[in-house]
Amino acid sequence: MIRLRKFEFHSPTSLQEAKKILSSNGQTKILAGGTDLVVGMKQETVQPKNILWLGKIHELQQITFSRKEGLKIGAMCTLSEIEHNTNIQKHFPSIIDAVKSIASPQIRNHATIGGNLCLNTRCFYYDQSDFWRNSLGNCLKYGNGICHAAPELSRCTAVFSSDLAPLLIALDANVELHSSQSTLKIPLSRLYNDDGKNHVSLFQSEILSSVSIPFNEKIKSAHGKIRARNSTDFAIANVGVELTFSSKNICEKANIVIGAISSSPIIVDTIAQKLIGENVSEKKIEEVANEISTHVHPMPNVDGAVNYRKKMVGLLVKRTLSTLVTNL
Amino acid sequence: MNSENIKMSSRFVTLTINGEKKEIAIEPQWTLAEVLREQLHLTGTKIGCDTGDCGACTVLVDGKPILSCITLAITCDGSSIQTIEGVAENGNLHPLQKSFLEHGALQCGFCTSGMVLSAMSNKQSAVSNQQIREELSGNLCRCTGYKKIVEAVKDYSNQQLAVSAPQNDLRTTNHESQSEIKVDGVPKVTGSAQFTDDIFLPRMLFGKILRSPYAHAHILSIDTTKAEQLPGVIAIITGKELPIKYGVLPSSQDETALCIDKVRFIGDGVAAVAAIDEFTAQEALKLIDVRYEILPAILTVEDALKNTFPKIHNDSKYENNVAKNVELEFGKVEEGFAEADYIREDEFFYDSNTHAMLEPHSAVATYEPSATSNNFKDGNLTLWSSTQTPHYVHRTLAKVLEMPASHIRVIKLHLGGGFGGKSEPFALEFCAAFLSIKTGRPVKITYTREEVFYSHRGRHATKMWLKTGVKNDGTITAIQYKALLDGGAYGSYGIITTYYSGQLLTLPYKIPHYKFDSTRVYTNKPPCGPKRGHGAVQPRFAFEVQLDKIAEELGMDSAELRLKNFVEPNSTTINSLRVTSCGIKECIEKVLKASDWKNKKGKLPRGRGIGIATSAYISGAGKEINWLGLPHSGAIVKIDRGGGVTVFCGSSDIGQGSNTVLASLAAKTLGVNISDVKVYEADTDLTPVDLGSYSSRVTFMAGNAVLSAAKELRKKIFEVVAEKFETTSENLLAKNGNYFVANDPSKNISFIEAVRLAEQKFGTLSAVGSYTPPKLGGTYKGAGAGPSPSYSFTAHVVELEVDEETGQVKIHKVWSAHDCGKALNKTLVEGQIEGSVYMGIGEALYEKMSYTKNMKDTFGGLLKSSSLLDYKTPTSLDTPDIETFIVETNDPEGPLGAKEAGEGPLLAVIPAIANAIYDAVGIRMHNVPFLPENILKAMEEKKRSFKTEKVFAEAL
Repeated sequence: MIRLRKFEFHSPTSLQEAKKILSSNGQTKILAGGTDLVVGMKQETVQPKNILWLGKIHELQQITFSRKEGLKIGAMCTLSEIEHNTNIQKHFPSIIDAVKSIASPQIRNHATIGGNLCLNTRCFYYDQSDFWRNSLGNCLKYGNGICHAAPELSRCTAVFSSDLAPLLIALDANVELHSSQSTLKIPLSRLYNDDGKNHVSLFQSEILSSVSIPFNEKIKSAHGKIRARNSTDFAIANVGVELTFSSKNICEKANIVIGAISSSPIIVDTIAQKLIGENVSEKKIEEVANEISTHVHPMPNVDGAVNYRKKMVGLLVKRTLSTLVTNL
Repeated sequence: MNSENIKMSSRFVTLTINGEKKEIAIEPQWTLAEVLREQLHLTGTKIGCDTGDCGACTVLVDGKPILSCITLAITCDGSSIQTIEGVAENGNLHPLQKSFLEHGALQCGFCTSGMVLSAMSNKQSAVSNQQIREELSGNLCRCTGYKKIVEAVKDYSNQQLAVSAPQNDLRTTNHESQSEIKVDGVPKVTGSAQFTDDIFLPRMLFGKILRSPYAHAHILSIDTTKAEQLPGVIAIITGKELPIKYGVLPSSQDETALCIDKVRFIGDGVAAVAAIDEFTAQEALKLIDVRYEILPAILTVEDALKNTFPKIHNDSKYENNVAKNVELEFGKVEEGFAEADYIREDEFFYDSNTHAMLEPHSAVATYEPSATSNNFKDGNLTLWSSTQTPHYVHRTLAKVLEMPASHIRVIKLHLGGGFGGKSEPFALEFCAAFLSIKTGRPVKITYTREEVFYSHRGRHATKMWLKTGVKNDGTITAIQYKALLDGGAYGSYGIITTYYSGQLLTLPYKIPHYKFDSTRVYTNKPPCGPKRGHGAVQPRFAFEVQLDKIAEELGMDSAELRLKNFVEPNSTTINSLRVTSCGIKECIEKVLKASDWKNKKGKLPRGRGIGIATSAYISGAGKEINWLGLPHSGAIVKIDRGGGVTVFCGSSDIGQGSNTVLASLAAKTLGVNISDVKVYEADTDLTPVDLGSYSSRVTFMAGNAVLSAAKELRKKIFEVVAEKFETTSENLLAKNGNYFVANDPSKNISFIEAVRLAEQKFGTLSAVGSYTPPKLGGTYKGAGAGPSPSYSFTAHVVELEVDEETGQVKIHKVWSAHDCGKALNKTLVEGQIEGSVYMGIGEALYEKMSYTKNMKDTFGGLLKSSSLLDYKTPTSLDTPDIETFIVETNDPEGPLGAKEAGEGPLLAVIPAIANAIYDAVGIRMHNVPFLPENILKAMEEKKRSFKTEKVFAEAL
């Protein structure tokens, strides 16, 4: 068995207490379900001195829904709790689709939504053992060397890997961030940077406590994912779409967000706008899908060849939009 | 409430384990798997990947399946945990465990704990097969092909629903086919089966091997000073201490326990550490300072053939980096082509893939010094190892350690899958043994999943050129075949692979003229060796695809073309392979009918297709690899006064069920119930030599050895029973624990009474049996590779759908018919067929060993797919329904007519898929695996009307 290095373990029972621990201990990693972090610790890509586990904070484990306030999911809710929540099943079926497409049943029983939104970026050249990385020469993401996937670039190109984030961004989700100084609510889209090494803009002292999604009956949303195997695998491409239609089926609002390509979700605003004001036709969908496919530039760093992933983005956009439009 | 701020490392947690509340001192960095296995000794929880990719470590936390290898135990404080050990209650198996046993839903048993726990959740409403597959999709299985697991869970769920239905007691036979339940089934479903890594001995040290980060380099120096100073490090060894070369084949002794002056692939062992715990051993490796002089890495077969690169093995007798070349001609191939009306040539490429058995290699050694001498060679060494071949490990340990073999004992416990990946000695066995000798303490080394990948010995990447001539009526007139095999860094079984690549192409079709040229080269990558279907899988793919093309060109149905050319029973091939029983025609007829071939081939809607392929495979090799003329298998059968029968045989049950087969043969012969037979296997002190579980030999060879010993005992018992009833032995029958006169069953005595009489007359009852194949094969050089006492035959039809936009292939169904001679246990045979089909699907569509390439200023050779996340073995959701047909021929030399089933059914899966893809979307896949991106590429190329015929591998 691979043995983990020692660390100090903290398990606060309130957010207040958690914030205090966080601000007084350096090199602290927040532990939620651990399905990503513990693997990183085994591979020695992450070696925290302190672990702050949020599992004993009850306020982070609530799911609430009202038509007015929308949906609020505590960061420590597991993916399978979300999968089995009747309100989400009823009002946000696309979230259920996205959740079900994640990893394996056992991982969904332990992994949390907070952890999924803060999932580390992935790369062939990074998600490896210490031996492996040293054999190749370490990389930008680990802290030195070059980006093996794109040596010509001076930044890390590791891939954004949350399957939920693109959809939730498309659904205009907000996240609540707590630090000892403040409590902030920001759009989920603003949480991410296109930098594989530092793609989540949380300060060391900040905790993501919940995600909230507005409810609007008019909204149609869908999630699409392509992966190599029908379980366990990360996405070759994924997409989250939200469309709003008028009573005459004219598209009034369009959000399309692409994951698994860059280091942050790609919000294809300008291209998506082309759907607005239209009674969306298959031809239009094809046009938008092709344009998005041209617009994305994957690096050779995860499952699937670069051109294949590019193509699959277009295809997923096409399929996801088509399903939405057909079901109007 | 204040949080507990952990300054001390250890703290107490309360866990309710299988209903029992326990307070346990743990350290925060311990995973739940560590605590369960090492603190609580609940070793039914298995570690297959250690990074959350395989599901073997699944346990229930508060009723939900989770992965204990990536869960910190400290976060389970206050939780209720159920492990496999807690599933059976009050000494009774849980209905789900019974269902697993009855359906034959387990083979090696390594995934079983996790599977059972994932499927445990209460089934309140009817569940579909698809729902079960989803529920189990986080539990990888490499043996079963999932079919029987799904059936077992389905049956259990139906039982749950039928509340009033009477509870069945566990039958000793499977209900569908009256097959005996695996003799090692109960310990496997209850978690008590001990695998090598489950051994914990007092004072045991943990060993780790330092591996080369370079693909090709000279070792200039190794400085272990710093590592030795790390507290907890007890011993360190380097290659110089074990300099004797070995290799599983006498003619390729090119490995050492650890590298001495040169490393040959990334992952080659350089030094080994024994420490008081595994973390210390891990840390010590980082403190060993090795200086290397880097050499150019040879990563392609093309580079291996050039003389501008250094030799990987300086003492190799071939030019450049050629490891072996075989050129043979049978008949006159040019004359054969001259007779042909139609000739075609094609090129193919089959990429490397690996066994990925779920249990990582593990070895535990313990050493006892001599009473009279200080020379370690006079002491006694015991090695438990997860090996398919204890005898070869035994022999090689004696050679390398220069110890008398009589002072070494090698034992194999339950083994979590092999598929050829554990069929020769590995570095950990020598290192554990020598570290134990040096320290006088037990030493355990278990590979990480990454190290399993570096140890490899899987499928050779092979470039192939194939030319076939046929007459207008489809009769094959000649074949010429050239193969270039990428062998990786060492010999392994590679010489045999090189032969098999050519030699086994002469079945199952009549080939009047045949010539082949097969070359294996060394490259700086993990060594390739035998994987299920050894050597024959790649050429079978090429040939079956080419046949399909020929059928199309001739305007013939591809099944008809095959039928036209099949070999006959009791015939001999052009390269002197002797065919005895042969049911290939029945096989193809079964699958054609079941699949409705006639109405589907060429007639399915676009995107959907159907394909066919057939094959043959050996039932053990006719020649023992050491050519010593010794038996290939030996057995002792002993009868106890209490009526118990014990079989001792050196064979290795690796999950396929060979112990069940041996027990069954003894039981049938002696007329007792299988529950009265115990099998002791794979222990070099206790059991006569059997060469091991490889080349599909165990049922045939060990089976014959057991059969002959049991028959001798029966003869003695018959003799005394005949005397008692004043008749002759020929008139007697033995059945269900009774010996009786066939035409007067009232004259009968129990087995126990009969045994007493026999013991009175003959003394203690035991007998030995052994099996040596008859002289087989031709007299030409190389005639030793290919002959087998019998061949199995298989036909598959595959129906699938190609998503023309994603390039993804969804297999709807596979129909498989296999001639295994007489099926001694139908459930086990089906399991072998289903598992082979599953593994073939993995090779065809998902699995690939891919390496970093040489770049401008750095050398490559680093395995990119070194985890079960990156190396993609199919999950339950990627594996289709498989319908199996057992075609029973009665093999004249097989035990009770049986022959192999474990490997043959894999071969034709890959070409059947390729042929179905062609039927679906009109593209010929020449390169394995058929990854979605390659399928899309081929479709685009076809659209642009490029000739796809010459698509060739970019690089090996």
